[in-house]
Amino acid sequence: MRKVLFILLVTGSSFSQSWAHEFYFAYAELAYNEMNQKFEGTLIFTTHDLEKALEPKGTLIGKLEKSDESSTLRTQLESYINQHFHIRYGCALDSNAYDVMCYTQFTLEGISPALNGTIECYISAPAKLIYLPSHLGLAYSTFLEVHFGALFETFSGQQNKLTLIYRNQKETLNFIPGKETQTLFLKP
Amino acid sequence: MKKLLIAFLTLSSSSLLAQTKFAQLDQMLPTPNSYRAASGAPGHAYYQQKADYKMTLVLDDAKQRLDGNETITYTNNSPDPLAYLWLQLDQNIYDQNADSKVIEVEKMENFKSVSDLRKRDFYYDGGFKIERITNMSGQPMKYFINKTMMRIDLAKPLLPGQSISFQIKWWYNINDRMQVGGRSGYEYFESDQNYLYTIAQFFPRMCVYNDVTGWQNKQFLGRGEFTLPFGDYEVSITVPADHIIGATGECQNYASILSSEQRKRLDQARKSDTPVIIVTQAEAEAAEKNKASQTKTWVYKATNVRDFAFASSRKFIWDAQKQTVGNKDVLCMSYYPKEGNPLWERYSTKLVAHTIKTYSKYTINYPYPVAISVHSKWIGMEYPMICFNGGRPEPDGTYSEGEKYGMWGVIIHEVGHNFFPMIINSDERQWTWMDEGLNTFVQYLTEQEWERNYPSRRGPAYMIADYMRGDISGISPIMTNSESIKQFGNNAYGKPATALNILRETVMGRELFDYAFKTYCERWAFKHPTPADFFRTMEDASAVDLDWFWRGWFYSTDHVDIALTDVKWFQLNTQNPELEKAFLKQKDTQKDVHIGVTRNQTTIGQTVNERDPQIDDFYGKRNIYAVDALDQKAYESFVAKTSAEDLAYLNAGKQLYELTFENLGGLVMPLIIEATFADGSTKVERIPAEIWRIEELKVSKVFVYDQAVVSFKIDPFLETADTDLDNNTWPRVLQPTRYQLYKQEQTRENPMQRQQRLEQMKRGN
Repeated sequence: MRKVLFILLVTGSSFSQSWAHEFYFAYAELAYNEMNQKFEGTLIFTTHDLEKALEPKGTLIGKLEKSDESSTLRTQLESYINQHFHIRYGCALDSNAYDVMCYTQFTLEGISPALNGTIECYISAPAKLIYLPSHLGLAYSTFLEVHFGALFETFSGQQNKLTLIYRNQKETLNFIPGKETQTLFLKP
Repeated sequence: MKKLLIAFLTLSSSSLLAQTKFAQLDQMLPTPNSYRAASGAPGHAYYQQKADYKMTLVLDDAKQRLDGNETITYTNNSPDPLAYLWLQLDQNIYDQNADSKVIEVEKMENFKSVSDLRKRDFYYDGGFKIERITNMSGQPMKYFINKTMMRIDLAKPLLPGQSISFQIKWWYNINDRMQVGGRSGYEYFESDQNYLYTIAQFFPRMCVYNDVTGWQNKQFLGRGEFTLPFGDYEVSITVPADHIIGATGECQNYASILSSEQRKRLDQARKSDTPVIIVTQAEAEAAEKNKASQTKTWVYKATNVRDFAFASSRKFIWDAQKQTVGNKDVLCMSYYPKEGNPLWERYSTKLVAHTIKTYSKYTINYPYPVAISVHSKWIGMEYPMICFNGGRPEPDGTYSEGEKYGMWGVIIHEVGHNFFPMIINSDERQWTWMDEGLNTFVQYLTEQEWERNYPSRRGPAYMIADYMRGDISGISPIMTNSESIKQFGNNAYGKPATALNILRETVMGRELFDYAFKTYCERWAFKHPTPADFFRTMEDASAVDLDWFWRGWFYSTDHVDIALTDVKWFQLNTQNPELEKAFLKQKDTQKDVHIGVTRNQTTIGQTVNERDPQIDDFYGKRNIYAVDALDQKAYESFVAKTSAEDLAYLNAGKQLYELTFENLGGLVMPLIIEATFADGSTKVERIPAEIWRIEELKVSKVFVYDQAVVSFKIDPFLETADTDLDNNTWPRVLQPTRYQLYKQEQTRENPMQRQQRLEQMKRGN
């Protein structure tokens, strides 16, 4: 048995919202830019779902649509993205130390709220991927462990999808509550 | 490029693969019968039951409680004797032990705070309190409540053609919608201590009995909505005297309810093409403060509706206008608290009018006398003639552009539900897509007629691609029961709306689609259609075999990814040696030359055979590009045997391209190919999906043009929901990612920031 430490939060949030949309889906399009050695991508959310997810983190947050680049809301959003969307990847310089792993730290470069109720968040993170002789018997590869659990804590029906673009190849992964982390291997 | 020597071959190919994508749906659809015809129309023996209601209701504003006494007259039009009747008790979803709470899948991470746990264990005394059920002689009737369903046992079976009347007295505590959630309930305004009630699913309602399900008494778990028979309603509602009511049907006693000034405004509204205020904001605000202690009773009648709902509050501002549909004037109305302004006064009623007018064009003429939009926070829910909608400005009266479009969209959507499922009355408990999907599709059409390039969220094919692409472990086919759908919004709203849009724009064309869709609506208005009735009617009225489409889009989770994997270029061999040898010479001249050959041209002054003429023999002296008499004679012989038409065709400089397409996503779709020529002009080829009918994974097609093509692109108008555009072009053109597009933008200012800067400049700051 484990003891659970709860945070006492005073929130004014409702039990459930009955908007007709039930559109609990976020999508990430992420490319690895080998020239810059960076992950560069876009996260797309339903705007008011994202606002709802950010709400418990502070007091009155205002609307993302109205926020500017210097607002604390942007800082909150960047922090939220890094908590709920991150990649663990092999980054050892020594081939024998294949289990040395690094984590991405994304920078929120901008947002673009659309009139249809979605918002695009543009992010990038430096990541020097090292291709190693795999201990799993695969030819030289790098190992990515992608975590994409955004909005899962707020909406039980939430699903997220990621399309990773690497050397003009694409792979799409699905993330659901309980399956928030997925792994894939990239070959040089 | 290759020159093509035409050969006449008899080709035969057969596929070793099992062909499934074009298999007919016969085994998957119910067998047609006398109730439902193979054409998709109601059969000659089609029947449906009728349920008429007379109700007296009392709303207790102090206790937030609703009391009702209803008389139901149920008519058995089926060929079957009925030993018992089933009624729906939707309020029992708020019972402490309701299944809907128990069946929620939970994990500890769902409860990160005490407030999360408190929400889970929140209790209020909800659910129906049934006081008595009696026959018309006042004798108690035997009944049994099974959660959200109630069975009434009849003293003797209700035979075909017979009616029975009985009375139910009930009450329940109204749920605080902002705390408990739900499709109906109350919203409390702390600032003025008033309530706004949106009341629905509030009375025991008859279940549908029909040829498909027998009694549709599948328990109400919260997601799959309602399946209801049509009938006539007479309802009297007693509320505080200063409340304003909007309800299903027509009010019968405005004369004793409204002031003479308000009645005068209402009469003006009935003739007006723009909204007329009937209860002003000032009058509503005065009522908010005064809080009447007396009551008034509003009386409503509604004919041939499947349900009844109402809204009541002293906070209501009320406006109305007429909208002519066919040869009838419909009174379009909105009820909203001051918190909804300025958005609601400006837009709501106009949106109602636009929606019923546009939907009438694509479906059937709106048949009811009124259409109502009521504002309450965080909601979008529909009932016959009335719907409850969110879209609230900030407390200071400002609103963002996104909020405005959100409000527009939800009003169009919920008013649109008058058609699906209130009139074209599908079984919502079984199939969410039949009302939400079809409604979202017509919503898209309606939005586009409200404002050019309206930013609709659902409808255009490309917008569903992210959801459908790649890993499909988290999605369900559209043909999934309402309670078991994964990704409700995308599955039941977005994907079917997109599918219908693709049928209309790409597969069938607007004329065929609109006719077939309208036929479905006309056939099944005020009846209970099923998916098979829809699928069959769309084919029956269009002569388009759509089984492959239903199979792929509605029964599978395949996605569209068609790749242009190879392009081969040919020209016709004219057999004319003058032309062909010149062509050969030109081709050889254009070949890439090894660097050593180029350098040797200058570093080797003279080769041996250049110095010594004795070296070159016949082979060395031969000019392979020269046309000789034998070549000429062969060509003359060819010309003599060939018709003038064929010769003209051979000499026309035709350019032939063999394109290879691969189906990577599984979903077969028409091929739309845009060829761009050297002079910049384009030509679009449209190949029906049946090109995949034998080979489902890889097909090729030859195109013949008068000039050379510089590029090909498939799905150039984004009409097939193709999930990977990178493999759609030749030569290959990679699509920029959203991130790259963002980085290419010149400005980071949003329009509002730019406007602020402009205003600052004007002020001289």
